[in-house]
Amino acid sequence: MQSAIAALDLCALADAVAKGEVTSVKATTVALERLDLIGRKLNAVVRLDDERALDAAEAADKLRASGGALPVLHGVPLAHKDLFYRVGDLSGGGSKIRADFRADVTATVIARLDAAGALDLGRLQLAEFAMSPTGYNESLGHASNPWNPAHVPGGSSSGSGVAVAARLVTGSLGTDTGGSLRHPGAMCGLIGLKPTWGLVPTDGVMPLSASLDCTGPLARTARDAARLLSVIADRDYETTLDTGVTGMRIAIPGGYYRELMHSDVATALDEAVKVLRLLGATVVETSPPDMALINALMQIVMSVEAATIHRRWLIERPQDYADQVRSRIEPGLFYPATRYVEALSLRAQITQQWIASCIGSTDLALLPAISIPVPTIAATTEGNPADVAAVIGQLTHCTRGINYLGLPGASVPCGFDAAGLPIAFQLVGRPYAEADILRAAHAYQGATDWHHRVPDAAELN
Amino acid sequence: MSENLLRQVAAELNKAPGAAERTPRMTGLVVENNTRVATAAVQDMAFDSTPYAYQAWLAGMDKR
Repeated sequence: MQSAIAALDLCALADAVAKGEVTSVKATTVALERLDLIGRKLNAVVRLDDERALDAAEAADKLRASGGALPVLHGVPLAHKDLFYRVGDLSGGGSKIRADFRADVTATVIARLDAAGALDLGRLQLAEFAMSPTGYNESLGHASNPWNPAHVPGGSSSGSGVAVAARLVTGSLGTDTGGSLRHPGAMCGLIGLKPTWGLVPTDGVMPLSASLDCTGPLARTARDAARLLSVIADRDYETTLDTGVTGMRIAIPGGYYRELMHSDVATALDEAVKVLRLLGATVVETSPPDMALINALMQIVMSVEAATIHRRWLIERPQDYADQVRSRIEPGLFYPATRYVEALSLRAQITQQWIASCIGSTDLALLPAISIPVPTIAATTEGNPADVAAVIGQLTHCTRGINYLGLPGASVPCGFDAAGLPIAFQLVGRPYAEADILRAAHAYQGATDWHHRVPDAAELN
Repeated sequence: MSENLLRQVAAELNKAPGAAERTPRMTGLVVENNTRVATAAVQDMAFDSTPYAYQAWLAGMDKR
């Protein structure tokens, strides 16, 4: 019974709870036990609020028994990255510096999930200050990839990716400033959806770079991601999900986006494109513009905004940052203000140029999510710092620029590499094209079974 | 752009002496990105540009 409940995806669990096939108390108990046992083993858990969650689950079951109208996530247990505030609760942001910080507000997205009936079981591991594509966290320890614990899970929303992939919870909120939803999505075999900048509220969420930060879901299926996005964006992404991709035009940008691509990744992406063609999509090749400029613009905006909010602690508590994290923030102290304003002022025209070059007359662009196989934790933490920095830079090759552009993007699992770690493609659209992205991802998942594969660490077999 | 100038920016303008000590490892990145964006801005940025144009453009793209 426990395994059967854990195997359900988010929409299936929501349906089962709504129909009374599974009580919310049972679903919550299973999730809490698995988070405590498997989640802590994978270092994916920061804090569990057992008592509060079970009280809420009991209330959810009573409401159902009373025959009251049920919201879309009624009684469904979830847990989120430890940077979503709930008034009165600790919210450490993966850091030593904020370890004792208690929020005095509740994030709007958390309030929207509450209103939709979801239960909040606690907070999950992340990279220190949400500042690493691998999930690196020196003080709290590295979370482990459920497909192979020697490998990184992707970050910064590492615990969210681990918890959903290991079937501990069915969905989780994370944030994405340079790929932090798409990295764990790609590396753990999930849909990690970064919405259009500004679509989903970020108030009550620990900031990193206000011009780039996005809140979004990690889930096993496009349908689950659509359900969560519908709630947190307060818009409907489910109605058009089943309309297929016949007639959809998908661009495959070459050049920069193919530069670092490993042969395993290239093969998996080529196969994914074949599937989309068979489903009725038309595929067109395009060419990206000067990505070195876009990456420079992104780095200036991100580091200046991060250095601005971290400056006091960089002065007073520099020893409480991991060197790898501090070294990504501190360059922001060196740029003149004119560069920062220029980077923001160029954003609209550069984004329009990217859309014209990469998407052109099509609906979506299909890129690699991660160009290289998922690295080991050792390859991203030990040895020559230049080699470590190179691997980390390769991981964000296809993701970080999208945040400067502010466009929606999602990782979609499409295979496994020779070492058994997930591979994903990335769908990127024009502003507010989330429905198209989810529709294409849903059609692809309807024709493939990558998202049904279960890692051994989930202990369901 | 000299390393010494950057060190002064960190130490004196930002009052961050620790960061100033670590200037050497950041100089390459900062100089490269600064030059690239400064050049692009001179070439491509209109006089009547604004850092808020992006939000206005995004709002226009929202068909809701």
